Amino acid sequence: MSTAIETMVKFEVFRYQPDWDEPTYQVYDVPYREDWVVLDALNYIKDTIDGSLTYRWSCRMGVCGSCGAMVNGYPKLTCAAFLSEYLPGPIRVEPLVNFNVERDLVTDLEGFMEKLESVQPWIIREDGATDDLKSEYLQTPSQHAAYQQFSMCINCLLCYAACPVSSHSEEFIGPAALALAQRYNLDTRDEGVEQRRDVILKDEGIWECSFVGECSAVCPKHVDPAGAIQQAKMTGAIDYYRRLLMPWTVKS
Amino acid sequence: MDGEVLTQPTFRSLGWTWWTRRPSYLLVFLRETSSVFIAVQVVLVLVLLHKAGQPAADYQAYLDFLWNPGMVVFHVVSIAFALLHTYTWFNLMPQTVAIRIRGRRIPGLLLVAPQFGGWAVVTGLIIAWVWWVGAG
Repeated sequence: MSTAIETMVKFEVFRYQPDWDEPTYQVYDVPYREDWVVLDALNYIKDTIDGSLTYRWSCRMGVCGSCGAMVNGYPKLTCAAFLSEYLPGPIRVEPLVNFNVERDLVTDLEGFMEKLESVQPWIIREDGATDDLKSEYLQTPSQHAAYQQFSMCINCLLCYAACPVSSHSEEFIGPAALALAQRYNLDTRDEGVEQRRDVILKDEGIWECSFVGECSAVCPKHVDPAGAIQQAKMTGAIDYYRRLLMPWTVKS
Repeated sequence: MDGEVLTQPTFRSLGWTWWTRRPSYLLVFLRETSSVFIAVQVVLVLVLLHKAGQPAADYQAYLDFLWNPGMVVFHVVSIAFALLHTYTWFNLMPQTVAIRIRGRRIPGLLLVAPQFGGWAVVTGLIIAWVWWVGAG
């Protein structure tokens, strides 16, 4: 039998049930393990202390993007937030801000899904041949490199939780969706720039971004959505003046 | 009960004091706020140009107004904001402009350094011109 005294870490976890008037914080004591991340602690709480705690998770390795939460006020993937970084605690875990909360740490993703779909984040061909699996669309490594960074998004939505514009404008399309729009606009196989144009350039699109840049700072995949949006602004501005000054160069 | 909607989502946002939440937010807030001071400064300069075409007494009265302690403090704060805006804006350029040569993005320094260099040259020329006018 071990006589060593176990180090405990205090967790303050946001709790909310649909039939509650107000959310609350519940405190749990979790044993400290050097190799544990916040997600391990949440799993420990659910398995051994309180089975009613609700949260999303899947891969445990920063790929699925489902375990995002506010950890001590910062948007983090809980599978990548080591307890050792937050000692001695307490560690406060809350759902991602700027989203409706369904229950405990689970947020409502419906609004994001609609925004994502609105930018048509898939390859569009003018000939409509995207479902023709026999076609080949060749691309050089440098053409691939032009958008590769923006294609790394895992839709974890930490960027939305870090964005003050998303906080004050529910209509703002937001960092991840706009970065993905830019990703497809830069893809040489894609011909859907015109189809995405109105959504990207509308008031709730790229021009609502005030370049706070925190979306890029919190992105676990180094996508740099802020960079993608500013580059889209640059393209949009050049396109505007081209249409104004050289309308004959614009395809109808 | 069948069909009953159980979810009553609670919206949580960063709130209107979002800029106090972390230093990086505060820096952006100051960068954007600087525009107000710079805009006022531009108006003051335009009025100065207008007054230069008015009778000498009007022009002198405006100069006296610009030299009152409140306006001096305003200009000191404005120049601090202008420097902050310029410094942060130049440093953001590599995120905004993606120039590729042979498939590789050029280093950010190649975008930032010419801007600071150009700024230094223009500042030097203005100082030299003011000195030359003053000496003449």
